[in-house]
Amino acid sequence: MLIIGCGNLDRADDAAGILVAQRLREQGLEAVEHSGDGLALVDMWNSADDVIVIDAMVSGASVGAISAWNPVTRQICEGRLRCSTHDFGPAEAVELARVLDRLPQRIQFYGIEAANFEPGAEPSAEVLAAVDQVVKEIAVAATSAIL
Amino acid sequence: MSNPVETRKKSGTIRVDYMARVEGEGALLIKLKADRVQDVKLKIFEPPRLFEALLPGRHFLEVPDITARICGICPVAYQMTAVHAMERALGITVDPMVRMLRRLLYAAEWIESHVLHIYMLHAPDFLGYRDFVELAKDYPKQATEALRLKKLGNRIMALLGGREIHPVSVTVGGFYKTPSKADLQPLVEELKWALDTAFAKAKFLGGFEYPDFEQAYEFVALSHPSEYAINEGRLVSNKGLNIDASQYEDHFVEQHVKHSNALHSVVRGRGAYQVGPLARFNLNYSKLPEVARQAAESCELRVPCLNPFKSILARAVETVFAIDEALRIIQAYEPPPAPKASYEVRAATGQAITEAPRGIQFNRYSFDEHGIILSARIVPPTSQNQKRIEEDLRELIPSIVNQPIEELTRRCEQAVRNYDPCISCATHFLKVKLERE
Repeated sequence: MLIIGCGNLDRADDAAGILVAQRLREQGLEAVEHSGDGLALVDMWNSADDVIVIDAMVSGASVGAISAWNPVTRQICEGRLRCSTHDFGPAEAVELARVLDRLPQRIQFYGIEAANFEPGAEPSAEVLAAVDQVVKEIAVAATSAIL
Repeated sequence: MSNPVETRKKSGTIRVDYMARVEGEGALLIKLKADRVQDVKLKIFEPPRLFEALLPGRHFLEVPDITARICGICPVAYQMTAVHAMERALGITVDPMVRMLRRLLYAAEWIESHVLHIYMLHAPDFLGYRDFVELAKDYPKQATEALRLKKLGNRIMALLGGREIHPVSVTVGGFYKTPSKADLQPLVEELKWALDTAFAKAKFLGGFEYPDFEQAYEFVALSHPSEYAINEGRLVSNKGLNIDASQYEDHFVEQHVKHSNALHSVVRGRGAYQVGPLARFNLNYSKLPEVARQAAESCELRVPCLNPFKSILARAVETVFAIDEALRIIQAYEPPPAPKASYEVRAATGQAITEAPRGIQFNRYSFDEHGIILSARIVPPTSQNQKRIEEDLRELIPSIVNQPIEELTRRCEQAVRNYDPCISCATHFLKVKLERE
């Protein structure tokens, strides 16, 4: 299983995905952090059949709300996970992998609703609580997969 | 992706509320009266980044790592220009192999940035797609190859810089760490594939339909006597400019315009100018290696090229050049005796210009006897092209003004993208608003 936490530790709630990856590693699970180009995700997915991606998202839900979905069966709303107008985010990566037939067999997205992206600020308490919850859910899923 | 919102009603206004495939937040306002252009404003409203105010009080060794944060697409340009300015200030000469490694790092950024812009941002305009994902559906081979080319640029960046974005290995006098010969060898096979692929892709791009549009540009680029200039050289133009970086501020002036948070740079006494791949191609064609000149021939890009829409071809030719250059450097590379030169710190001022993927970048730094920055000035390429973009649109619109609103808007966006503007660098979404009276 390949677990990828996306985001930016230095931009408040955007740290959510990275924090999940870090906490999972503390529990002895393999998880990678990804802060760069979303297109690189397409390549990272090539190496695994079973992928989990965690990222901050903005959908209008309350801060800290957790969404989990399979992007193969449910298309991501455009811009939901967008990280840049110049570069590509996870949403574009999924759609690109889909048209190039390069999506992994199983892929699960976790989105943690974010509100504050201020440089240098700490994530909100709601986001940190959501991080704990997502870590628990993924740890259970990953452990079941290993066993 | 663009979301044109047609509002040409009684108000006579056309707005595109969100232009993507450029970096940053800005807006384009076009006012027409009886189908004549009254005003064109590229409005950049993203707040100023204030890096020049942030640097004073920091040690000059911190500057390359701070300025790299200005941009995730061209961090090497910021690092290189900064270290060259410090080295010129202190009279430091770097080891020839260090110089080659820096050229390799910069070539990697050109590959990664050019491939991103050509295929993911600009090619959809020419082929009539909304975005790269739509393009990839119909051209999966082209898309897959483009991803692989871009990945190669990122891979070289990570190898030399420690990571793909905002590399951390560059310092004044050289690198913190240099690779062994063996470290670089695994890149060779992929670079050979990349050279063949990028060459074939230039021909593919040459088959696009290019609008018939030419302007009498002043092209400005670095020029070096023996190489296609990236890191150093004199600053030249096709209108007689030939200066050292230290003279830049005597010949170029930045003007504040009310509608933009980025400054407009102009040549004193002449006005707008163009920097970037097309400027470099036109001014430095003779310094391109044979393979890059053949690539230019295969896509029918010839000097002088005055059509800004063909900047995509100049980028393709420069991609071939950058790959070829990377191969040449890796094959000739021997690790330097030391990763960086030693030097004494003293109070000094230094200026430097290097060629970022989208055009020249100028830096000037003054620091005291302890190396503490007293003043800093950074002129990124997009602020230099900004006025020229407005002038292109002013000239282009009359020829397309009778076209349907969506087509007119699309063509204006495409014309802006000719310059691969990085508005975040300049201060940054682009909103396009067209008003008719």
